[in-house]
Amino acid sequence: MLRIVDTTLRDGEQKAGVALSIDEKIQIAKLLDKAGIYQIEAGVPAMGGDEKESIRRIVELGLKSKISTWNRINISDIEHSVECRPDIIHISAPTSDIQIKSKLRKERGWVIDTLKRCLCFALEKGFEVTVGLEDASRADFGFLIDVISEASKEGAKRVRYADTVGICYRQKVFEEISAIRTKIGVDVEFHAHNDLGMAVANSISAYMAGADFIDCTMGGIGERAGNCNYAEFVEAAKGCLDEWSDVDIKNFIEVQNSVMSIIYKK
Amino acid sequence: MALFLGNSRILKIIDRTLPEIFAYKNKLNANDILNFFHIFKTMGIDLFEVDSAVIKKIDKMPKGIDFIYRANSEYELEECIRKGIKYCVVKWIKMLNPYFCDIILKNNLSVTVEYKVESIQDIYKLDKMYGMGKLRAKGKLRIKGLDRVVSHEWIEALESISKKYNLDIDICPDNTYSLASAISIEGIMGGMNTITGSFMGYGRGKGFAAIEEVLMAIKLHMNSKANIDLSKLPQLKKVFCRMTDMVVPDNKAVVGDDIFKYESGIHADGIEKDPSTYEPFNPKEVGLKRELVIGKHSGKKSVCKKLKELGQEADEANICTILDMIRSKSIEMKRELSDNELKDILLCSKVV
Repeated sequence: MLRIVDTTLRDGEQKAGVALSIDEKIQIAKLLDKAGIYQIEAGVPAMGGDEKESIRRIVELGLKSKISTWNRINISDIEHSVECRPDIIHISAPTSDIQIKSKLRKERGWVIDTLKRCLCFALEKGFEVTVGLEDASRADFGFLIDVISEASKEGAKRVRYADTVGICYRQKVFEEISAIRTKIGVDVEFHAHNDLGMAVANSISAYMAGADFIDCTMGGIGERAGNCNYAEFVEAAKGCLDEWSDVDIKNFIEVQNSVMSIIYKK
Repeated sequence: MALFLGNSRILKIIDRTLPEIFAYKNKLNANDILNFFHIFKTMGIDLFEVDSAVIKKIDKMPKGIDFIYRANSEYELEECIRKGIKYCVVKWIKMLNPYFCDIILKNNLSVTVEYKVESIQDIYKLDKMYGMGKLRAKGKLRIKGLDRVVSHEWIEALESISKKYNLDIDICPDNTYSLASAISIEGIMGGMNTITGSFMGYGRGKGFAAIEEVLMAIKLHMNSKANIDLSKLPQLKKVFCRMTDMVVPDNKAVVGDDIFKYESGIHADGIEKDPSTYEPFNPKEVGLKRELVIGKHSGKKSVCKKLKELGQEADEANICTILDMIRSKSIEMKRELSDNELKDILLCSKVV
């Protein structure tokens, strides 16, 4: 079953120059919930201040959409999330050597050990946890499978394959997601970026390969060239896969327009 | 200037931007048109598609640029011949007209027959039409559309037609479902040797594959040594905007002004250590620059770096106050902060 994870309030807001107040984030969360979005990634609690407060207040709304928070692989980040009481805690582990060596200045083994510690910590607190495979499209696939396998053994039910720099193409997406589904059997979420204009195509391919959870943002906003555009993805899924065959695309565009008018209101 | 993809593979690229612009607007400056051709050619375009409206605007055919003429009538075919253009593209239905075919054959024009398919099933219908002799093309076959093609089987289906009828195939995906660039690169990786698209995917309906996206994907995935120079994309965009009056979204893939702006603490930290952590390619490759901006998502390190760039220094003890002030101001302004606003905050933080 195809489910949308909306990350407008996290990756979308990370688009340079976008800045939302607590009230605006709450308004957007309500609109997303009304549109039937399965999961709302509400932000990064470790930022503290207004960001953390906005997440706390979104959780308090008791929406039908599941509320999740984004965390780096460190206990301190997760503690901030725990305080917000979301439905899902998402822990993002860098998986490419570029990210592990250049950004973290660590080794692959450190990533697996630290991820396991963070997973245990969040799971013991009683949260549903999803694991992010940051920069998965540039990772060594063997290592990626090791990370997923270890995460799955620790109790993670879903992993997010992130095409962090938006360079993936649909054959590779299909092959790698299919292999993850076959080898490990965890639920897969796909997180696209649009740097080569292929975010929608890659997301469709990921769904066809067995990723039931697709990350989108309203208007496709996000870092650099943005993420998978929600309305465009729905239109493609409806036109190419016969998903949402009974819905009117105008409703999706209206939701997107309402959110965009909040984000870009002067 | 065909692109060499390695292993003796050559890729031809056809641009169809101009007739699409003329579909909406006919008061164009001839110099802009010529500039557009010359700049885009440096990036690897082999043929520029034109039609009667475009040709009327160009007094003299420019040297060094090759054209493919879209002909919808016998009269237009004659114009194509008069202008000395060797290549023409026609809709398949025109090939059912014997007079039309005769003009092409007698004048030795290299014809590309365009046939629209939406799905793989449509490709099999095409095979039947060839079998029945309804398409009498001896040149290339352009497969337009492929709108709802989501599995790679389409490549095999087209390859079998190409072999069976000894035809070169050119693909021109429509962007109805935002798949056109992905289909183009999939086709090239699968062995297709000609693609048609437009600058930024511009065109009627939802447009076509964005050629600059396809070129960048080739650079990243197929042959980094392919002689693809995209550094003049900003100039090309400028000419294009002048012709179309279009404002290009700041986050448009490959050409958007803001695609290398970064703000969030996590990204700023990564880019500071090694830009490739969060950049798909070097901004210089597309004539852009990376830029650190300060706003709601900035972290302490980015703020210190920016202040240093501005010749200012933040007091360690004060940095949390500065960060809080930046976040409040950015939310209030609903945007990133300017250098002067940042300097003002620094000043106020000293008072606080």
